[in-house]
Amino acid sequence: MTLQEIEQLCGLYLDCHLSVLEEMELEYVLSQVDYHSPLIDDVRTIIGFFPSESTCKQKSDIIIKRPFRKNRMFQIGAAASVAILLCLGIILFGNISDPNTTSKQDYYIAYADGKRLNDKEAKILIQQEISSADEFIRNMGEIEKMEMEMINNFETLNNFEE
Amino acid sequence: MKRFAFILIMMLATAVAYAKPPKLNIEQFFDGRYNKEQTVTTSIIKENGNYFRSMVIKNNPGIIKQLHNALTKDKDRAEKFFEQTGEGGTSILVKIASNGEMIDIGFQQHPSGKNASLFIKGSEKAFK
Repeated sequence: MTLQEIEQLCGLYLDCHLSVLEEMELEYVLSQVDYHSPLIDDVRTIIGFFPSESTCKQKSDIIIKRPFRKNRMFQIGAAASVAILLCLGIILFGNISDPNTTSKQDYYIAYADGKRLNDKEAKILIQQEISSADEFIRNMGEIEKMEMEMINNFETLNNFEE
Repeated sequence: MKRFAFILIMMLATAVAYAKPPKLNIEQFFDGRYNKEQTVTTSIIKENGNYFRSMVIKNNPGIIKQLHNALTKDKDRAEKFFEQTGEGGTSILVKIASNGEMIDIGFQQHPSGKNASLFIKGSEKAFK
């Protein structure tokens, strides 16, 4: 980068027109190049590359020029980002919309005819439902097996005829 | 700062979207919406790391149609889908792999179309 380009960046830095990332890049550039000018040295002093007694006064003057607003905006932005991430995490991983999944303990819940059953009734009903489901899965497995056998038989018959 | 925060949020959202398996469409019907419905019996259980949810619908073709539509959407994620229609009505079994575990969804509809039953079964890990 040329001296003029760096001075231009330093000007933008002092006017608070650079993003955080751009400021970091400028700091890196200033640590790598050996250009000197009053503007560049001011920025170097602010960044803290060579704090000295002679530049302390300039530094404090320049810092006062930097608007407080930018730091404040940064803090608000960071806080907002953290809040958004937290909300996203809770919504996506917390399942807060489903009260049934918030408990770590086992539970039985059943509703029939618009009313909630007590634990004992719920347990009996659910055990019946689980048995029916297991039977359903077993029956479907058997039907599928029979159909696969039929398909194989048809294929064998077709191959034989050919 | 805005750009930085935006990129961070987008990266996180993308990572989450890829990492988290989408919820089943059929699961939405167990959010309590039919708890006070006279024609529906709902049961939910979590026990020993297993989830089981079932629903029995009597004389309510509207809800049955909604369930069937949701199940049809979930079919796209199925490792295995088996449907049988006969005199006894329609029976559907869907097997969906999620988080390395298998979820079984069963659906039975009476030939009249007015009565049906549904269940979702699988380990707790599959639903996370």
